[in-house]
Amino acid sequence: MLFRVVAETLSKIEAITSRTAITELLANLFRKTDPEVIDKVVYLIQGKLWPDWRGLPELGVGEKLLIKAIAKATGVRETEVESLYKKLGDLGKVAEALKSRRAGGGGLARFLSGATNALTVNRVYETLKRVALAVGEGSRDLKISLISGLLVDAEPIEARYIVRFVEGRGRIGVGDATIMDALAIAYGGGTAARPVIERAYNIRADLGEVARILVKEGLRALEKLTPEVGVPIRPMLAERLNDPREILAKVGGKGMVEYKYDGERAQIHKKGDEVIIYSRRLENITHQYPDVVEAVRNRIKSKEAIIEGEIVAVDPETREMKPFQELMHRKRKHDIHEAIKEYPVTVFLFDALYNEGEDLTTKPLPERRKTLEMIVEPDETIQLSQYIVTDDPEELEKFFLEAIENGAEGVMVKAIHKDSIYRAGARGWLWIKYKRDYKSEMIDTVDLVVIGAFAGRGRRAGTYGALLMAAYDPDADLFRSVCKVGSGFTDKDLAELPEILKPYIRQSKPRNVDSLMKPDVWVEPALVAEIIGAELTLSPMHTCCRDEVRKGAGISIRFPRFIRWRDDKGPTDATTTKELLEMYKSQLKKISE
Amino acid sequence: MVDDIEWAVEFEYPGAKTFMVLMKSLGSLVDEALFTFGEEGLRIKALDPARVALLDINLGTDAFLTYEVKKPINVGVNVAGLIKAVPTPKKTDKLVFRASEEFYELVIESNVTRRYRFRSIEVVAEELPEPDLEFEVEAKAIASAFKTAIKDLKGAETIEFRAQGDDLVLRGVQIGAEAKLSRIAGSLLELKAPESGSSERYDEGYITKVIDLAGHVQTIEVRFGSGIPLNILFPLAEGGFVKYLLAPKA
Repeated sequence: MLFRVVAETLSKIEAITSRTAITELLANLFRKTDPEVIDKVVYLIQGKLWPDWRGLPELGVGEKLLIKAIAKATGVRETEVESLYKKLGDLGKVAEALKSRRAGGGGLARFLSGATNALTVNRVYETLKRVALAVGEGSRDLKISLISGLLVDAEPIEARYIVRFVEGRGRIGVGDATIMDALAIAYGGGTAARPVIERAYNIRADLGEVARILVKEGLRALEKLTPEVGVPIRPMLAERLNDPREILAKVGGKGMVEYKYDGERAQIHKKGDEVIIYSRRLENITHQYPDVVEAVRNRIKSKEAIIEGEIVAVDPETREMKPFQELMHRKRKHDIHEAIKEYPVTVFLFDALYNEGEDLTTKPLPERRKTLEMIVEPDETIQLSQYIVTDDPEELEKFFLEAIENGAEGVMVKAIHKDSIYRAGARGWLWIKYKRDYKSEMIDTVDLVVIGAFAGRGRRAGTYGALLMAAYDPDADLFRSVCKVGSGFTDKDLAELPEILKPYIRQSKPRNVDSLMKPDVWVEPALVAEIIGAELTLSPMHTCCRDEVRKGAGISIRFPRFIRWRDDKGPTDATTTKELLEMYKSQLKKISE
Repeated sequence: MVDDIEWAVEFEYPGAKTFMVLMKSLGSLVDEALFTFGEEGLRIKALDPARVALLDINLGTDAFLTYEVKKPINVGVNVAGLIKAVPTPKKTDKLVFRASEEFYELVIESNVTRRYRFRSIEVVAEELPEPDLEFEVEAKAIASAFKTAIKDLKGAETIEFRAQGDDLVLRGVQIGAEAKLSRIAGSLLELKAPESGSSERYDEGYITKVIDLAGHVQTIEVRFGSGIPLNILFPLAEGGFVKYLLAPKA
């Protein structure tokens, strides 16, 4: 198939704005397309060489290099190409103009008997692929030669689109939706076939591949398409609401309320020992999480599975959740194994889309969750998402506050009725996110009193892993709990903890302590520590200012960190509950997204 | 090192240095090439990625001291890697080349024997038909004179080849310099051209890529014409020849 046919269609599309007319032009192009290259034609229209998730390089050709290639192919000096570029503002048009001026040029092909210099879709695509994949010494010259080789044999109109494509300006404003419409018209018998094509694209995020199956095997083959391990499924998306009552009504009265973890959404594909992790945007992020890969290999019992979860940064000592920003340390290309130690993660799994040959996307959520629970053996790195099932808005609200205090962004409320399928690539009311509208940033440190301690685990075995901290309420002469702090301690601080706490350890809750949380040991209020956190938040678990901002919730600190002991302060000199309430109110700001 | 390889091909070539110059010329056009070993000898044809130049190396069996082919095979050679790994041999060094389906090795024999073994790579064989051309100008020149002329026009970007009277004139278009090969001076041995003369322009960079081959032959044959490619034939002293075909500049 000649590339000219594609270039001419692109040129016509560029001149019109009507979506119907564009769809018709594309449908005509697809009808004329050789089935062997339909996938390549679709990619070229998408302005790419392959789906992004393949993790293959992009063309990576800069303007300067492209100018060299145009100059070489058209026999003019680079300065001439540059000055024409200044005038026309589009290198594609520059190449077209120069080719029109110098008709009759061309490479060797036209002198070799039986050979043709007419560009085919295959030659253009394969050459551009070589350009993208060229690396290392000499790759720059190779890229120039390959591009100029195409331009030498290109008609002026072809040169325009080759250059634009190489420049990364290949997209002509035709979205995936229009391509699907055109495919439905050309090969599905009309737009009625569009939902079949769309579903296929949602479970196999490769429009070129979907087009190839449609054209070569027909619409029925697409209908039967199931997810394939290794090919990402476009993720199901959630609507957003802020009223627990309304949320529950939308999901059918009763729903699964799950922590909305503050991390990176991950679609994990496992086939034997091979594991691939795709991001929400379907980028291959496997290299960032070798620890998750290892955990999936060892802890997912199925041979073949596609599961979904949220990867969250956790404290290396306490495994408590840390803010999303901490995951940035995993974006590095080198020394990832260092980053694993310093910035460990836990993946909280929440869905199973495919298991041992069975497509689960058409099954209701409770069934998918059951499969997930069956195939996962949780450990430190791989866990199941925390959830409750409720029809009570108050219980939902309580779970929401607890989720936030524990480092989550909020909750996801998911329908659990018989139609609660996994709607790949779609945003709908089967899943609803409930996040905070406001947050109270913590600018200053506070001085809190130790009222309890939790036994350490792992590296902290034998000492304490976290302390329960309280603010002082002078009106009631009570120490009311605010947070559990496990971060910020040095190894020395931790080693000294048992000795420091020893004189104040009590078997039962001291009478001047008000706490719903029960630590491993109670501590007589005496020791004061300076604490900082990311923000002040509402919590159903703590008693500081309980019911004052919201019924059933107290004020707490999100992501608290120990700074130092305040030996100079007595417990009644600590920050008071009133001061915390003032801080909460004065710093309350609307969250902008 | 794998020592129990059953070689399908083995040859001895008298000029290891010439062979490496051939490889360097080849490597200036392509990174990988397919070496075709048949009963008639070794053939390497390579079209550069810009599809502007074609190098055709043809070493018949008479070019070798010994040439043994158990079965005809194609060997994918990483030319760039080979050039990097093998240092330039001396003029008197001899080359032994062996190849199987999986490996190929070069042995440079002089006072010290050096052996370089490589794994063959997959190179897609592109169908390259023979050129079907009628040249207006056919010239035979002293190779060293031609080489000097090209080197003198370095940086010209474009060289115009022109047959004018009894002379072959090479003009560096962008630098305004000219080099002349003439029968009177003895640098031009033969010239066949239309009375009205003939000229065409070619890319200087592409000619420079293979000009070192001229240092290993006595004479060269140059053919060209208006609107058609430049053809340079290098008949190698050791036997065999190299044909270079370059499209006219756009």
